[in-house]
Amino acid sequence: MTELSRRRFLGLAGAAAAVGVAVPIAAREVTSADAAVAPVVVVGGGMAGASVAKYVRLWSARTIPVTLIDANPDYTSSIMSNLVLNGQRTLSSLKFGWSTLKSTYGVNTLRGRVTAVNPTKRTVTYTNTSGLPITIGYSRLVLAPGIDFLPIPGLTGAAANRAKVVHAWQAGPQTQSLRDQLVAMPVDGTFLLTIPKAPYRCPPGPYERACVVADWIKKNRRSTGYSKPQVYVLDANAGIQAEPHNFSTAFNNIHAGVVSYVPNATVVSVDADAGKIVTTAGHFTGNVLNVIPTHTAGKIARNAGLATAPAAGGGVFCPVNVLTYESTVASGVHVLGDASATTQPKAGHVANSEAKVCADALVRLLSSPALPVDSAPVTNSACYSPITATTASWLSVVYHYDPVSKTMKAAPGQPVEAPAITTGNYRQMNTWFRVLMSDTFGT
Amino acid sequence: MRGVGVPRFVHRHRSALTIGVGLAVIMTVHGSVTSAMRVDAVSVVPTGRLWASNCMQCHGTNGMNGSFNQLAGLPVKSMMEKMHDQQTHSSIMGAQARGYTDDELLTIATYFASLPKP
Repeated sequence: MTELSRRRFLGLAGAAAAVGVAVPIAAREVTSADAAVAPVVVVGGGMAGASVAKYVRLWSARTIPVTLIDANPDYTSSIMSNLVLNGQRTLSSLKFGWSTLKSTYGVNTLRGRVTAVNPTKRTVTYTNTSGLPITIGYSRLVLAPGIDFLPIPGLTGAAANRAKVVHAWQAGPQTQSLRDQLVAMPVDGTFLLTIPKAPYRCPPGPYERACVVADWIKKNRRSTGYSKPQVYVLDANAGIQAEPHNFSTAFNNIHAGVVSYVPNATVVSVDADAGKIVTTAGHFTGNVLNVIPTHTAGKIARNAGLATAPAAGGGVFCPVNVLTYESTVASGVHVLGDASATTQPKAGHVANSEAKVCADALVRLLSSPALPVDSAPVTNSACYSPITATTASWLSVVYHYDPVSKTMKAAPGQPVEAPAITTGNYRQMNTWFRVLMSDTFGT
Repeated sequence: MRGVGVPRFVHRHRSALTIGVGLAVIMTVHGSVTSAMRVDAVSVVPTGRLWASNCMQCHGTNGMNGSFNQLAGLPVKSMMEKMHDQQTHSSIMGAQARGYTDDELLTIATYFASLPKP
């Protein structure tokens, strides 16, 4: 960054201090960390939130103060978490903290649960680890709360059995539970996986999970000569939502006879005691019930009144201007990642890309005077999906801003899926993951 | 793939030289910078930086520290040759490269060439 721009941003920081943004309001007790001056406040330290915090600092030459608030001590990556199910990874290997964002980039990291957002007063309130409510001001707020789930329809059964019906779609304790249930599954047992109506997080993810689980079952829980499917993929959608060629190949060839794919299977009810799932495409009984419920925007965004775009299945998401990711409902509030309603998938890699568009816009908007935002952003989505313990496929899309529809549109001929499922892809997958997480949380 | 030379991208091709001259003029005339001064956006936000950031998920922040190829400091000609070659491949890099116009790739390549080598 040039000396000129450095001075411009220093001017900004001074201006922010002068107008007194981020002075705690109505706090009973305030620590020095809580009381930080922060023109940009980011809520949620996942793929989108960590990326935007890092890149606002990087691209403003560390002159725009950024505070990142997250309820958890660290972030557990959902990317690669299907490999916990087959024992190739541990949950602890998927944990990422914000220490580098703090030490290298100067992000003010706070632990607390956000309870309220006031876009009119431009304040955000969170409960800190001592249980104290703290209210801070912002000039720009970025919400990256991720997803929540709608209740599973017709879920019945004893509490202990209902607790075993897990989604494992936010990596964490449920991921470990699903791994443990898979290991405890009897030989020739059955694993039921339900997929909600799109949009849901990580379009290839459920199909990837079916493949990884089928691969593990073939090696560990299948009798010689057993001919029945042991993984049922009950998809509320009419067809495979991502990489249809590769996942069809996986289901029909690589894991033939082990995976049964059932489209148009919307969950009607789940009997946790009987291990029974009733869908619009029939009844299924299994030993492990992996029910991924319909998604909706994270609670923080819903409670702030930003989730006004209804989605198939009953969830709601936050409409945004994809030049800035500013909410179309509340000015000064930006919504990134899975909680937003855009034409891009809900996934970690593209969330990192969206965050950079937002970071670039914030740097321009917070310049003094404000600069026009980029009118032609490009984002990208890329991911690898393990198909077995040694092979993987991939999916790639580049999106350009379309000024007519004001949406991000896939480049002609895209998305593109891997031409083959290979061991080389599996090796590349590990490199991709390592660098993506470094670009988001580290360096 | 889209055709090259899409008009709406033309404004992005102001060279680093133009930016440098612009800065020099401003600094000379005004001596110091005040918050009221209007400055062309490209002098604060380097051209191509946002597009180039799409490469950083696999090639590392600022084109460094990636386990795939390092991009920082790569000469423009070399980068463009690699991109044109990749566009003929069925790899994930090929799929990504085919998602950009030649003008966009040139802008990205020029940005990475301007960064110091690791």
